[in-house]
Amino acid sequence: MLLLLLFAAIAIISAVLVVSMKNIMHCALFLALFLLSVAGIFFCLDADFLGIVQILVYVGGIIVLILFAVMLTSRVSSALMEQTNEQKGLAITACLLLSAAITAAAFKTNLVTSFYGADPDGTTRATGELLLTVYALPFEIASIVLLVALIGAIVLAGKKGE
Amino acid sequence: MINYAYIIPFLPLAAFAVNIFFGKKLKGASAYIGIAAISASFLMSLSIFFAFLGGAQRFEVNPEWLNLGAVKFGMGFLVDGMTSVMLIVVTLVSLLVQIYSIGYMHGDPRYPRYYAYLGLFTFSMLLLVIANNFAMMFVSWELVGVSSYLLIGFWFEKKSASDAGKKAFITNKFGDFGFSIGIMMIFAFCGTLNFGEVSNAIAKGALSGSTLTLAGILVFCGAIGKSAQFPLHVWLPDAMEGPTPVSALIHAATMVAAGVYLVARTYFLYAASPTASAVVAYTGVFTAFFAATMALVATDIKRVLAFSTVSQLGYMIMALGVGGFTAGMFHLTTHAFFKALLFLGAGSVIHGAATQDIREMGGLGKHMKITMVTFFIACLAIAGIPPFSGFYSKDEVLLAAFNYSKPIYIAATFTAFMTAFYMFRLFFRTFTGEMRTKLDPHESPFTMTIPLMVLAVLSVVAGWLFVQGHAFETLVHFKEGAAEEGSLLVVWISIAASVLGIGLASAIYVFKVVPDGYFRNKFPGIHKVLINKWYVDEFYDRTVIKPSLNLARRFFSFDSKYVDGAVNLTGIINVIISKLHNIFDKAAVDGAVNGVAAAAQGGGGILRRVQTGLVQNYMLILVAGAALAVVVFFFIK
Amino acid sequence: MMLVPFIGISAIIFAIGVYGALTRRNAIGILMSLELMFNAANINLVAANKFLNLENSIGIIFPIFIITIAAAEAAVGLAIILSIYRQIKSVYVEKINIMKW
Repeated sequence: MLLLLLFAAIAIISAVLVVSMKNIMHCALFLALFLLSVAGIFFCLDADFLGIVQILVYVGGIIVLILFAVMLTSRVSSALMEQTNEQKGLAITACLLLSAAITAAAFKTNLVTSFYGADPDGTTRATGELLLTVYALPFEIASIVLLVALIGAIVLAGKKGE
Repeated sequence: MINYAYIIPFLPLAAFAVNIFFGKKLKGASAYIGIAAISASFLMSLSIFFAFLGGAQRFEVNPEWLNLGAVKFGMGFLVDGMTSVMLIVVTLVSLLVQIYSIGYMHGDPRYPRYYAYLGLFTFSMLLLVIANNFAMMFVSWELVGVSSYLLIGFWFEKKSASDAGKKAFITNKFGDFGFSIGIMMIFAFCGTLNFGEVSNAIAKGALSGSTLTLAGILVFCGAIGKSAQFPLHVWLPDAMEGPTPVSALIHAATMVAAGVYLVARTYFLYAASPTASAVVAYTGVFTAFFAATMALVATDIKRVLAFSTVSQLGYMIMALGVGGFTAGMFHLTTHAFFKALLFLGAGSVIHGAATQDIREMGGLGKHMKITMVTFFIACLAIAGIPPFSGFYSKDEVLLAAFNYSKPIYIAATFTAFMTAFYMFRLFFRTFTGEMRTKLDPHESPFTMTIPLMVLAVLSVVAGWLFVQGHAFETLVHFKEGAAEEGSLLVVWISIAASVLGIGLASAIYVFKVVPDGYFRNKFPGIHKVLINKWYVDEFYDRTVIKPSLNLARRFFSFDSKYVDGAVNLTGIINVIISKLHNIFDKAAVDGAVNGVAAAAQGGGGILRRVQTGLVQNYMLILVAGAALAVVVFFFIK
Repeated sequence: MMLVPFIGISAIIFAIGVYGALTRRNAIGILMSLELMFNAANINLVAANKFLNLENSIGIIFPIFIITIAAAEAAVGLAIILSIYRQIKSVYVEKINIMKW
């Protein structure tokens, strides 16, 4: 319980920092921290397979990707610029409104609570079974999407004239 | 043929149209077109005349012209015995004049137009003769006036000629003014303008008493103007400025006779009102006397004949006024022939001798035989010597006067004496004796002498032909005209008066018993008055013309000052208003249009900023909308 | 330990991600905010799975797919950013406004 709260707090704090740091590199690193804390949350909520996947894919893959992009596009002058644009005020208002609305709506709903009893050996086996039987089609389509994205990224970012 | 009488006026009208439009191309041929048309009309008139001699009855056609509900106007024609006689007179004299004009007007630059105007005049006169209602008569009356204006002022380059034309027309207008008021009165009381219907209405008493008298006198005013009675006689002497054949046609035979014809046609007015006929009679006899006095001293051939015409017209009007309906019309017919002859003869003299002043002439008879003989015959006719035509008609007139009022009769007889005197004075001075000035006279071409001869024959025989079997009376009568019993006394007195007149003239001018300037020197005052036409023209000038001109001038200055000023002012105001409009247009209207454009541009300028091109702006709006949606969906039900 | 706090946490993180997407100038920063949003959704789903015992553990499977797609999309997005960077030598989204009026 306490752990959960800790992880949630870290997530929120690092999220705030991600969107407000001046240096992009710092932002990317705080994103990594955020993702790790989210993985922690997953572990506490009995979704251990998901947490592993989160760490592997997100932190291991996407953060690296972002870091590469940051390094490729960084310029000396960028360090001196403002990181946020002029619609800060309106954006804060809208976001506060959004979060408040959703939270308040959540309070209003009456959802029947029943706890999820997780397998003591972990959810990996169950998840794997589900993925390849019940959710086989989405699984295959997801792989095709990844393939397409891969090719697309190569084409887009490749050298001109090749 | 009687049914087709309406065609008769339109043949000369067609000639007028052809000559007016194609005259320049036709030149000399225009005369033949006019003559052809009038010959056709003459032949038709002749056949109608014989039909009436044979006993045809009054024929009227009155198709409806204008229907105003309560009143109906017809426009038709009327042919009776009197009409047939008038048709003959008009068409025959017109034909002879047109033939004569081939010679007289030869070489005139406006030759075709002359024939066109003659055609127009003949058309108007014939229309007047067959008119069956006051409206048509008035219209043709005015047309005759216009044609006479055009013809009198034919040589309009001469100021005296154009002035004479204007004088004729305007003087006629004075008479026509009274005439039209008379017509209106008749219409108001009788509800119709047709002659026959008005006559019936008067018989029933629709118009009677003093109103009838007034109407009669007003209608007579037209005759005073057209037939040159006193006081509207002033135009006729001046009208001699026109070509002599025109004078023969218009001022001898036809137009001036229109007034007499009017009185005859509307005789039902005068027969019913003794006062009106008395006015007519006294006007007539006074005019006859008055004009004869002026003819005594005139020295221009045509002027003598003009005064003679006025005098003879006075005779005719007087005859109608004293109840001698048939006598008056008879005298009109015979007068047409011998007066036309006199004028044409005078024209021949002028053509041959190139002068109009009788003081310069003399002894022309040796060189112009035909002219002299025919002129002599005409003078005998007008003097009333039997068996010439003038004797018969003048005798009937004097008889009627004798039976009506002795004073009128005495005046008329004295006028007959004066007539004989001045006509023979004219004749002797022109044709006999020695030539007073160097002239080169020659006889006129046969186109001019043939009409003279035809008219001479008519002047001789027309009189006694018509009285055979009371032919004229059966043709022309009012009600059942009781034939006047002939009075031998009257006959002898009239012959005596004529012979005395001729004798006095020959005494002075042929036998030189009385020296030439005797009377002139004995009575210089009277002579001066007569030579100046009793100063009537000067009187009119002082009382009517000068005040009218002054008034006109005053009106003109008022007009140019105020009315033109007002018009100019409105013009200026218009300019100012238009300038204001211009400003308004530029500022307001254009401003509005530009404003709309600017608003569109401004609005667009504002709205386009929505398209910032920055996706984050779009997303902001999206997120705000999503938040609002959640709020609305969950919390506002 | 109830579901509602987790929904609240998820909402907060999502809102932070939206804020970042709306305000960041750097295109890569926007992508990072996008990742925040995805993860917020994942948290929501997993929490729902735990406290509502969703059938077939859809609350765990679905996030797997989300992660997959997010990865693919991040790859493609970064490729695009790189190619734009090659054109205009900048990653600031204000400069990419050719489609304005």
